[in-house]
Formats: sequence, structure tokens, C-alpha cells
Amino acid sequence: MSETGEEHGRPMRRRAVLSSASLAVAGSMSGCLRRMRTLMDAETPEQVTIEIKTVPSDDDTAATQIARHLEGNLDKIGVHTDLVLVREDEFHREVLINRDFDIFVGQYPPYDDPDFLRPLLHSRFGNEQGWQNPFDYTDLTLDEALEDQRGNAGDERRGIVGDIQMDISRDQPFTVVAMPDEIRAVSHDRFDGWRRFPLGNPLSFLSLDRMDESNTSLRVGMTDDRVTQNLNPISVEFRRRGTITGLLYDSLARRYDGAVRPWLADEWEFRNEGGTTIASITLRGGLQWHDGTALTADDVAFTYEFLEDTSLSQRDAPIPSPRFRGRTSLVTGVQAIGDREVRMTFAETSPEVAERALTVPLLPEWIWEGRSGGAELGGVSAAEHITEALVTSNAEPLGAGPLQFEDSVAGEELVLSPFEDHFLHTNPPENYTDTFGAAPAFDEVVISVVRSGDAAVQLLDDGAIDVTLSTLNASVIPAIGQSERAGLRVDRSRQFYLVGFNTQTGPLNNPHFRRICAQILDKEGIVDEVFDGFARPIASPLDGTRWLHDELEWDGEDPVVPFLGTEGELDVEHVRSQLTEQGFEFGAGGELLRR
Amino acid sequence: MRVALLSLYLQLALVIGVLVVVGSLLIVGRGRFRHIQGEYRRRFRRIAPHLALVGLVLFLSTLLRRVGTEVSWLVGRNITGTIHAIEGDLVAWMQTFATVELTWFFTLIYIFGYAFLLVFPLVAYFVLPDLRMFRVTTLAYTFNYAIGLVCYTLFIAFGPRNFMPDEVESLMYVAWPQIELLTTHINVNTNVFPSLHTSLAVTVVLLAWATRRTYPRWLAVATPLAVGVLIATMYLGIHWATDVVGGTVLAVVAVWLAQRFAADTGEESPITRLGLAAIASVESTIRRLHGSQ
Repeated sequence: MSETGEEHGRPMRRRAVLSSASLAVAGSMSGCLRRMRTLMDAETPEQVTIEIKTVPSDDDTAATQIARHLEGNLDKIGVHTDLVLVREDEFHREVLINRDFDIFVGQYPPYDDPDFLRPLLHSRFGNEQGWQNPFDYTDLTLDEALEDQRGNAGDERRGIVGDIQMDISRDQPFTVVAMPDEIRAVSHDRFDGWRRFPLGNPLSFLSLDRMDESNTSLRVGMTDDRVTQNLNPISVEFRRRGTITGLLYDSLARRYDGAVRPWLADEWEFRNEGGTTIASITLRGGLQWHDGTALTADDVAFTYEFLEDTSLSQRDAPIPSPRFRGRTSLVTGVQAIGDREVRMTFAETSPEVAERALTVPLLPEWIWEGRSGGAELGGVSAAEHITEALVTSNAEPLGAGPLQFEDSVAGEELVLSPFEDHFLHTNPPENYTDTFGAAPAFDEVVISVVRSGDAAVQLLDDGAIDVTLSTLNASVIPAIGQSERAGLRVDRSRQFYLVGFNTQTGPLNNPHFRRICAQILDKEGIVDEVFDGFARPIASPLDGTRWLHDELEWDGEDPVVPFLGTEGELDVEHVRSQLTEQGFEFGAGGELLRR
Repeated sequence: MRVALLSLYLQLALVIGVLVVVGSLLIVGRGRFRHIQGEYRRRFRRIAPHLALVGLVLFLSTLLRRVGTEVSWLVGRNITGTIHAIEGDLVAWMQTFATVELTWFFTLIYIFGYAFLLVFPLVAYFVLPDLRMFRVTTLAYTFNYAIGLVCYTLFIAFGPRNFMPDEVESLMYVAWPQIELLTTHINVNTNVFPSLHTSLAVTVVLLAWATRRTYPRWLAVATPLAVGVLIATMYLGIHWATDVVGGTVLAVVAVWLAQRFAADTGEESPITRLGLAAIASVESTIRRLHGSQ
């Protein structure tokens, strides 16, 4: 029937229309959805954001200013930069312990041997705390070279260390900025002999002469009050270069005048047994701790065991002392043989490098053994990976060093006195008395906390203190010049300023980006403006030593990562084009975009 | 160093002492002092507990300062960068006008002018017939300090001289290095927000306004002094403009709270009653001891 047919026709047509229409709609809808998904899944490019962490000007104005310089130039190339200031001990905690940073600006403690680069950059130290690879950097070639230099000596070693430097400057896990001069104020009227050793080296206190019998108290000014809060030789947050703890605690050997020399150890001998380096060390006779207890080979063995694992095997994984890690990581075994003999074994380490390990402070077993438990807060275990030993303030330190603890007032002062039974006074070896004198030059050392460099120079001029132990800013030099009593003392330092990168965070995980970060630093300009010329721009952490690679000598600009600009002005276009070449993109407003 | 600190405090006390005497003669007038002759003891007993309250808050803050700072690093928010992002280089711009004379001028205002601002109202209001203004002042100081301390714990902020030493110099410490002994004895360099210098100075001006009919000259003196303190905190690189704004807000809040809570009469003031009771019991104990001998 035509009606039915028609009736049928229409719905069919409608259905057909509907179905094809719906198909079409569905098709275009799904296509639309697919488009949406593609567009949504594609990451919307955001601006690169970097946080630079450093200390405030009150703690280290050079670090703050370098960080500001870097922040300014990163801003210019389109990076959203945040500068975060953190108090000094908190800075160490956040950067060196918690590894909570993108970029940090700080000063590396003075080093004694190029082997310091091994714990600083070898990948196996990436998990450890302190100055052990805070950059979390991994480079297999570099790892090999770092292990290699350890087992070599002489020219062979020098060559490897040279290669390591070239590697570092090519890949910039961190950027070295400048080697500052150490500026201090000294007076010579009450105590003299300061010139024998660089001030800051603990030995400089031991080579003094008393200018008058009535001068009993050596008064020292320090701008850093941490020594009045904490005298723990293995604390990361509270030690700067360890001058004071280096006087309270003694080691088997000390490095001075270019070599590692016998100190508490009388002599040592290295031999090679099937690839293992073994040292037979003999202690001097009659050694004592400050409380009169005899210091024996057992204490030496304990110290090395303890520094290797402050939990003394009570934990699943060892918890080594972050300080002295480079040195203690060389040692594979220590054995006390009798009272005065120690047998130390090293793996794949040449004697030249192994000697480093002898300069570690010795700790009394009966005090530190009890600190191998987990750090507690109010009786409750606070953290699994921190022992009491690492956080104790060690309020009344007991060592075997030439100075002993007398008294302290937190935030204000610390008083030390000579240890009369130290071998330098009771039993000095022949040539030692020429350098160190037979009797202490003072009856006490009073370290006072001063508020600023300017205040320190004022106090020196007034006769209230005799020397500043903390390094001062170049801005105090005119005041020193005008003072009758205060004399200027400038030493070269090995404490380079560095910009550290977290090599695990984008875009800092990209060595090209890191190199560009290095190239937006005007190191010459920084030396002029931040240090007033009292520093050297450097291209290698080993600048100023005989280990410096020829090609990394500073010749007006960094030979590997030169500043991309002229006369202190950054050439932003040039930097942008370099970044573009490396695959980076910029947004409409000039922002550097994340990949 | 203790001796140096002590001598600084003595210097401060001496200068304030002289200024207060001069101010008392010129602003308060000898008349008022003569008027309350014979009442000194009675008045002092009534206001002593209020002074003790302020002293207690100050003492506690000194005691807890170290702990407070550590707590601050644990729970506080580091807002230095945020402040700088908000206000930019205003303080650096202010320092472009720096001269040695200006630096000394603002240093003296910051230290001595400020201390005088705080101490003088206590003297001026002590001799008024009604001690309510005195109570309001001490309460306002207490609220300022207490709320300030809470802010210090919650926020970590370094001042412009610490954040941008390349553009902002610590002018006061360059001119007078020893004064840092005093300032660091009283405060910590992370406690920059809000500016307590500002809040207390503005508090004093607000109260001076409230007593402008009684002491018109005090308002005329306090206002420029307070403005000087506000400018000094920024000029010397110690505070951000944001801190000054925050301090002003704090002052308004503290004065409002003080006016609200201060009792109308001494009899109604719980602090006065508590203090009088305490003094009475101390006196009776002394008398008993004396008598038993």
C-alpha cells in the first residue's frame, strides 16, 4: 500500500537521515573529542621556573650578590627566577642534607688534594649527604677518571686530573665563579708570628710568640657564631672550615708546607701487597686525651670505623660522616696492633693519595660510641638516616688537640686553653720547636662573636681583640688602613665560590642549558663589583694550584664557557639564539618555555 | 662584648632621660607634675602591673627569641622573595638620595627618636588625672608586641639590605658599626615583617591624636618623629615598604584592641586589681618578716 509504503518510506528515510546524521554528528563529535584529547595531552608550554638558593648578605654578602647577578641575567633570558635566602646553617641543611634546591650559590670548604673532586662528583656519592655529590651528577667517563686518579701518582695522576678538569668544564655540573682572597685584620703588638701559616689554618695559632710576659689572653673575633653553638667536628651545618675543631681535635698527620707530615703519628710506611696499599703507622708515645686518658691505636681504629659508619652497623645501611668523607672513603680497613701500631688498608689508592686519610680528627671511643643511635627528638626517634653523632652539639668537646675547651656562652664567646700535655709541649720532635715553639704563647684563647666586619676592625683598633679569624669584606680595608693597631692580612684561599646545579631537574639536567647558565655569569665583573678586586675569576676549581690544566688558565675570559656579553652587559639575543639552537623555545613575551 | 653592649644601653638611657625631662617641661608642663604631688606612690602602684605586663612580654620574647627563630624556620613561610616581587626596588631608590648627613640623621631618629617616642607617652599619661590613657598605652604596646611575635614566627623575611646588598647598603651599620650589638640583641634579621618600629611609632601617634586636646604639643612633636622613624626604617635598608604598611595595620589593630579592652577605671581593671593584690601581699610579707625579727 502506498500509504504504508509512504509511511514506511518516511520513517526509513528519516531513520536513514537520522542515522547518517547521527553518524555524521558522532563522527564529527568523536573527531572533535580526539582533537581535544590531542590538544589537551600536548603539554601546554609553561615558562621555565628556577629557584636560586643562597644565604643572606649578613652571612655571606658575596654569595648573595653572585646569586642576584645570576637571577638578574636568568630573568633577562626569559627564565622565571626566584631568589630564596636561607640562614647559613639552614642553607647547609636544605642544600647539603635535604638536597632541596634547583640552583645554589655557595662557597666550597678549603681542600687539600684534588681527590676532593671524587666525593664531589662521583655518581656513587649521589645518595649521600654533605658535600658528597649534592648535584646528583652521573657521568660514567668522569666516574672512571675519578677512580683512576686515586690509584695513580706523579705525572700520570696529574694527566688524569687534567682530563677531569676538562670534563667538568665541558659539562658544568657546577660552575666555579671566583677564588676569593681571605681578608683579615691582625695586630702584632701582643702576639706575633702570624705570618708563618695562612691565618685560618689551625697551625697559625701554634706558631705564635708572646710579645710580653703579661700577654696571657689571645682575643679572637669571629663574625660567625656557630662555634659558640656547636663544636661537633662532624657536623655539616655548623662547620665552616673547621679551624677551631681542628685545634680541639688532633689527627695522625697534618698537611702543611706542601706535604702531609707526622703529627700524632710518629712515622708511617706504605707498601703494596697484591694491589692493596697498606700503611703501617706508629703512634708517638705518651699521647693523651684532654682528660688524661691514654690515646692508643684502639682509638685510631675506632675513629676510622666510626667515620665510615656512625651507626656502627646498627642500621641496614651505613651512615657515614659527611665530613671527611673523601678521606675516609679511601680506607678499606683499620686494625690496631698493640697500643701504638695501626695497620690501615686502602683499595686502589696510591700512597700519595692515601696520605690524605691520615689527616682526619681522632675521636674518643667512649664518648662517640654512645652516639651511634638514631637522632632523637624528645626521646622519640626522629629520623632513620641520621645518628646522634651527626647532630649532637658536642657541648664540651674532648679531643687530643693542642687546645682544649674551657667555657662557652652561646651566641657570644668561646674560651679555650692550651693542652699542657700535648706532645708539642711534652715531647716535641727536633725540628718542630723551630716552627711551633716549645711553650704555648698564650694562657687562653677567647673567641668573641662580633656583629660585622666593621665592628671587628673597630674592636681591633680599640684593643679589645687581637685578630679576626673570620674573613672580612673588602669594604673594611679603608678602616684597617686608617687604624693604627689593625694591620691588613690577605691570604690566597682555596675556597672557591660555585653555582651548584641540581642535575636531576629540568632544564638543569641538560648540560647545554647548564653551560649557558655558566655563560651568563660575568665572572670578571663579579670579581670587580662583588669582591672589589680581591678575588680571581676562575675556570677550574684547581686554579691556583699546580694541578691546573693549562687550557683552563684564565686569560681575560673563561676559555670554555666565556661570558656571552661585553662590558658586563649580557647579549640577550646571542643567548636566545644559542638556546634556540639547543631546541629551546620562547613564548610570545620572551619567556623561555619548558620542553 | 658585654661591656660594649652595656655602654650602648647606658648611652641610650642617658639621651632618653634628657629628652624626657625636656619634653616633660615643654610639653607636659610643671603644673601637671605639681598637681599630682603626694599621689606618686598611689599612682605608681596602680600602673606598675601594667608596666610589668609590658616588661613580661619583652622578657618572654627575649627568652624565646632563639626558640622562636628555630620554630620559624620549621613552620614559617619564607616571604622575602614575595615582598620583593610586590614592591620592587623602592628602598633602593630611596637610598639613591643618601648622604652622610642624612644617614646620621635617620640613624639618630631610628635609635633615639624611636626610644623617646615610646617612653615619653608613659610619662605624659602618668600625670593625667585619669590613668586610663596610661593603661591603653601599655596595652597597645603589649598587643603590638604579642601579635608581632606571632607574625615573626609565621613569616621568615629578610630585609632589603640582606636581599639586595648590591643595591641597598646597611647604611646604619656602616656609619655606626657598634650599634649592631644593640640591634641584634633586641631583634633577629629574619623578623622584618611587620615592622615593629613602624607599628609602635604609629601607635604612639594614634594615641597622641586621641589626647590631642590635652597635649596638643605632643601630637605636633610625635607626628613628624614617627614619620621620620618610618622613613628611617626604609632609608637605612632595614625594612621593605611592605613591612611599613604591615606595621601600620598592626598599629591600628593594636590600638583598637587596647581601647576596647582597657577598663574605664582603675577599680575595674583586672590587671590593676591583680597588681595591687600582689603588691599588698608582698608588702604584708615584708612587714611580717620585719616584725618577726
